[in-house]
This record gives sequence, structure tokens and C-alpha cells, in this order.
Amino acid sequence: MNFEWDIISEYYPILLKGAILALQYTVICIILSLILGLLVAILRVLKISKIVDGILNSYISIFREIPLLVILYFIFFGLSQIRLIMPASVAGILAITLNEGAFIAEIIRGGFESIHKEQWESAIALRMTKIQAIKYVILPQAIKKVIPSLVGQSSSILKDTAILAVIAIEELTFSSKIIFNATFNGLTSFGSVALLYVMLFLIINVIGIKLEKAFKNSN
Amino acid sequence: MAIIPIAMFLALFVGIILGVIRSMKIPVINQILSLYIITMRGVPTILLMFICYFVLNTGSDPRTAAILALVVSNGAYITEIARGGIEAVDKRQREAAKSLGLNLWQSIYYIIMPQFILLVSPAIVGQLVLLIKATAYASVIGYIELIKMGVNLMQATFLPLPIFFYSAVFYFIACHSLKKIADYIDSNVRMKIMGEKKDY
Repeated sequence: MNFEWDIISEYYPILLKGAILALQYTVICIILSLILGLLVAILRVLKISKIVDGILNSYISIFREIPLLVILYFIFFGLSQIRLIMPASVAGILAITLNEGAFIAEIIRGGFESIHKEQWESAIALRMTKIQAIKYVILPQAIKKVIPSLVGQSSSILKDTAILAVIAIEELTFSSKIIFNATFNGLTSFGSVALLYVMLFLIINVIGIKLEKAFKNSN
Repeated sequence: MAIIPIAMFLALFVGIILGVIRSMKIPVINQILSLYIITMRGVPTILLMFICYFVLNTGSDPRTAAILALVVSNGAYITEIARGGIEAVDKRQREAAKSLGLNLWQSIYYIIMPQFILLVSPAIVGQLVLLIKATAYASVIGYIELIKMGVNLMQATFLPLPIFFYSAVFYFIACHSLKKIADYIDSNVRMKIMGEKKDY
């Protein structure tokens, strides 16, 4: 089996479309799971009630320990049994968001807990409400500390979008299967897609490093 | 499901050996290993399974392909964990052991390894949990394990909800018990030895 450039020159539109779709899904899922994770983390830190804490903790436990594939099958196939049908893309985005949201909630919680108690105490001494304290004092510091982990989680999200291939969404991994089924040249079809994924991963990393620097300088 | 322990042991084996090699910082080999680790961090597990199945095994045995893919990808992460652990054990420990007259193997066995294991165990357990979850992806190359059985059942009975609910429960129990055991060992054994306080 050889790496054949003819295959790539013939099929590059599919590869390009797959890569763009993968990036789109990645960006959407990053934004949504960041919002979800932030919400959950803040709700937990506010300590509203034991019931809410219990629900949030179970959400995080469950969605961190069940594989993404199971979540996806559950949402896409399982919910359709109780007549809750949704398009494949929505199911995919929902699954990834719920899964990664739990991870991000844990990361942000780690950031919150790494901040000295004195910050909280001084904020309350200045007669801020808890929400104001979080918004103006705690959150900026916490986010700055956890940016590297969040960047790492974003590259996880990129890898997660590969799962959408099992729901026949034509992103990058699915394109690799299309090309393989057409050419039966595994090295070219899967190898080129692997290379594309590594490139996307490096792009995300570079953006992440730039973000880190930007956050470091702004104080 | 038998692939879980096999893949775990192989990944640990490969990861720790490569971690030791990386910590020695041999010039050319280090660059090659860096390339390997970056690749594994960037390529999704599913794609890796496809590659191992189609390119290397050409449809003969999904089980071997799945184990290979899991070992290769998780091995990269374990390499980094192991290397971090080795470098975290202070150099002075090795020098102190030498000055006490212990040879290389003795110093590794009595001094470095215990500290290394204690430092590294939380991260390694986390990685193993990820590995257990990654075995779910083996279903896409036809390896008959829990989820693939579930998919087959679903297509036969058209009752996906209970099937995937039970699969979810299984994975949840597996991962959660591993985590609880690891937490218990961690808090009672490791932290007592290293003198850390419990963090909530």
C-alpha cells in the first residue's frame, strides 16, 4: 500500500469539506460546553441548596464516566424510542456538549478552589453579593489559571467531533471512510486524514498559546 | 470486554518504558518520541482504530486492531505521565542513594520506585479510566463488545433506550468503582505517606 497523491488530488474537496465541518462542530461545541461548564461550576460554588448541588454533582459524575459514544447512541437512538427525534447534528452537538461540559465544570471548579479564601472574604467585606464577588474578583483569576487546561480540553473536543462519523455526519473521519471505500488505499485515505487532524490540533494549540499570553499580560 | 485488562497492562508497560527512555533525553530518539506523542494527542481514537484495522490488519481481527489502537494512543499519554513522575523524583535522591553505596537496581527498587508510584498513581488511574471509556470506540470496527452488542440488539428489537441505558449503567459502574477505589487508596495510603492534607 502506497501513499498516492492522485487520490488526494482527486478527493481533496471531500477532505476540505470534512475538515471545515469538523472545525465548525469543534467551535460550536467549545462555545456551548464552555457556557455549560461555567454555569454548572458557578452554580456549585454558590452552594444554593443541597438538592441542586446533588443534581449537579451527579450530572458531572455521570457524564464524565460514560463514554461519549454511549451518550451519543443514547441521545440519537435511545431518545427516538420515546418519540424525541432530532437531526443527527443536534444530537451530536448535544452529546459532546453534555460530555465536555462536565469536564470543563470540573476544571473551572479546580480553578475556583485554587483561589485563596481571603479573596472571598475581602469581597464580602466590601459588601459585594456572592454573584458580584464571583463576577468581578474570583472568576477573572480562576479563568486565568485554568486557560491551559481549557485549551487541552478544546483539543479533546476536536477529537470528539470524530465520533459524529458514526451518525453519518460528513465530517473528517467520515470522509476518510468514504475515500477508503472508494479507493481501498488505507494509508492514503486514513493517513491524510490523520495528518489533517494533527494540523488542526496544532492550530488549536497555537491559538491556545496566544490566548494564554494575552491573558497573562492583561491584569 | 476482555480487551480492557490486556490493553491496560500493555499500555502501562509501553508507556512506562517509553517514559523512562524519554527521561534520559537521548537526542534523536527523544524527537521521534515527541512526534509520536503529538500525533497521538491530535488523532482521534476512532480514526486510530480505523487505521489499525484497515491499514495494518486488513479486516482479519478487530480485537487485535482495537488493542493496538488503545495501547498506542494511551501509551503516549502514559509516557508523558511516567516521564513527569521520573523527573519529579528529585535528582538528589539518586545521588543520595549512590552515596549510600546502593547500586542502580537497589536504588530504583527501594528509593525511586516507591516515590514514583506514589506521585504518578492519580494521573495513571485517570488515564486508565479514559482507556476503559475508549474501549467503547472499538465497536466501530466491529469488535463485539458491550456497545456493539447493544447496537445489534437495537437493530433486532428496535428498543434502543433500555439497551443503551444499561450500557451506560455498566460503564458508569465500572469507571465509578475504579475511581472510588483509587480515591480510597489515594487518600488513605498515598496522602498519609506523603503527608498531604485531604483536599475537597
